[in-house]
Amino acid sequence: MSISKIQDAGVSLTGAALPAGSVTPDLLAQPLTSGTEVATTSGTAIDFTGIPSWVKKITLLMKAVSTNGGSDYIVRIGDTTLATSGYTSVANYVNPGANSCTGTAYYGGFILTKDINSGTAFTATCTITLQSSGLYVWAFIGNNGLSGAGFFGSSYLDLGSTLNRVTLTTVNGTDTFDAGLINIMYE
Amino acid sequence: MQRIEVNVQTGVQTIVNMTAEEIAALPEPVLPTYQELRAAAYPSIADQLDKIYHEGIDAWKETISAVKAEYPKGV
Repeated sequence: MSISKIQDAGVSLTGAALPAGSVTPDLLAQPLTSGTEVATTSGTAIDFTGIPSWVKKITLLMKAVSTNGGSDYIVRIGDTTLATSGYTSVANYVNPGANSCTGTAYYGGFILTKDINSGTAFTATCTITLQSSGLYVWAFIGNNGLSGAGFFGSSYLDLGSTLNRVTLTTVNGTDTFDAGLINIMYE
Repeated sequence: MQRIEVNVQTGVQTIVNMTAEEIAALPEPVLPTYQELRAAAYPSIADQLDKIYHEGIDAWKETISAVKAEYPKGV
């Protein structure tokens, strides 16, 4: 009997021995899901919508993303609308070439960069994890890929509800994406 | 202005024109201060020390003064 048939019959699996290798992610009711990669080559924001309510953790993957301006990248979350305030957000910037480390705070979104330049290819992995009802914790690490300068940070947002959308945009909201790829993974 | 909307369950990508309300809600541009502009334009400390060693204090002052002149106070 396949796993799906056991689920359909509502049979308890207590004590049952599942064959090794039979439980694959797509057979789970709440699977680890990788989205469709999106080219960040146009638009001022990339919105991922329709995120299921059972999701506990989201991973955003950015590969060599750039815009036509110098506004820093931010990520926002929301339910019917995006939250635009209340983030306690810091991006730390390490520049090995100048032996310097600095940072920036932002409250209108989860900030990813500091003083990013136009055309800079930014690569990062970011996680948004549900800590408790409506409270999401954010962490990321990234690199601008040119001088080896790195960015990292963590923060949180008490959204007060269950998120169903995540957006990548910029602080000024007007810079246009012109290169790179982004994808989302949720579980 | 447009944004790209991606439904993660269907994979459907849609280009959405931003509404006038969304555009109006965008933040006012924040221009860098003269201190930030100067800080970005100055050579690194290592390069400044190197210039002093090889070319002397006057040459170093010339470099720094050029940055200060390009971004005067109050900009």
